[in-house]
Amino acid sequence: MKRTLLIITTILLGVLLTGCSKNAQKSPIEVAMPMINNCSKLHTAQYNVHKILTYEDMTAIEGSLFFEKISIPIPGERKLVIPIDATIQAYIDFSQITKENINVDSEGKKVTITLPNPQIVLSSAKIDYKNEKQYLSWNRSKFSNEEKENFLRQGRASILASMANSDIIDRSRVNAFKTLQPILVAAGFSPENITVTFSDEIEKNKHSEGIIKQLSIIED
Amino acid sequence: MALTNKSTTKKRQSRNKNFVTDEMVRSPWFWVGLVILGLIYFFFLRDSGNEKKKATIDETPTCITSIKEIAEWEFLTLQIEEFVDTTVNKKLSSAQAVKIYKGTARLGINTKKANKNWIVCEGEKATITLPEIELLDKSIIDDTQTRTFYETGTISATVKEKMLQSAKKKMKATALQKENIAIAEENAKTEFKNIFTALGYKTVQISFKK
Repeated sequence: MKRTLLIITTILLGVLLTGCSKNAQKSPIEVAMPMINNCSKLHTAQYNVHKILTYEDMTAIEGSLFFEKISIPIPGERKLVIPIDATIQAYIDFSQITKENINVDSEGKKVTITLPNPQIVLSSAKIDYKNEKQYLSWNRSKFSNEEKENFLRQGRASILASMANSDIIDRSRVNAFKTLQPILVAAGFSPENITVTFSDEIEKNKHSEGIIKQLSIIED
Repeated sequence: MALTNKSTTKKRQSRNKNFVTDEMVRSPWFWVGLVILGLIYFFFLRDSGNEKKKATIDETPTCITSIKEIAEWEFLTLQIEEFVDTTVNKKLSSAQAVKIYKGTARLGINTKKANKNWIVCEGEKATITLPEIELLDKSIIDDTQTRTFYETGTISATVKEKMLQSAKKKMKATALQKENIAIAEENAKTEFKNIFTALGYKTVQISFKK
């Protein structure tokens, strides 16, 4: 019996010493070469945002008792807080504009420019490392880097999704007009003869009253 | 007598059938094994195996801290990855970290920096003086996409900040190479030429503010 126990103990010690780490396999460092893209994007609105990402996980041991599935929660907390500052910009992609989108009347007095819909991009983000906090009970493990990275990716998507409810697109349209108007005035068109429209407004056959009002204020 | 003998042998047999016998419990090796099993659970199985995690991500509101009206025309985009490693030596321990940062450098012009009369049109000729090509968003790095390749020990917030600044510096140097600025200038010229040609100008002369 003693021999058997000794063998079991040796096996267990062997397992401990050789390690059961999940991260034993590591991929080689792959740093991509810079990707260079020619473009023509007019950035017209910038929103600086702050978001506090919070994460909490509850762990439970799952098993079955008398053919019934049971879940026993493990006491202890495991919480993470990461504050992020991000910059979101709205832009108009001028590479989608062709000669057909710029119409000058036969007299050369009136100009109508049809722009594509503004798009949103998260141009940069910064983690506030000093205020990043982990709250762990004695029986819970630290957050791994993989967990944090996955969590940050979700946070990034959440920031972009929340921007859909903001007025960044409308503001971008108005600012695009503000940028283009002086250029067109310098090109010889009087302000009242300049029309800037956006493709979705034409598609939906609606010209946002709000935008038109704002544009008239700018013209004044 | 015979009956009692039978009952004791039955008891012994049933004891032998049990996984844990009295003999085992009395042995110190049994307790050593139990402690080792406990240690295995504590160090390796705490957050894995049959345990199920219920992750909750709290959707805190995204606060808009500032809104800026900009007029920046981007003509060249560079998506850059930078590798930064650091070692911090302390009296009793050392820490090491290897991180891969992702960033987007945008080269273009800020039309708000243009001269008052940057567009002069006479007859069929348009003369445009564009502001010089610059790095539009100085922050460049999207830290939510940073990958930690290797980390041992505790890396402080200050060291993490230094690593980020180092990556940013490298990215700026890569982006602001003469060749990239030349490509951005060429793209800017093409774009403005296309716009003014569509507006009816036959000759479009474009230069950059120096």
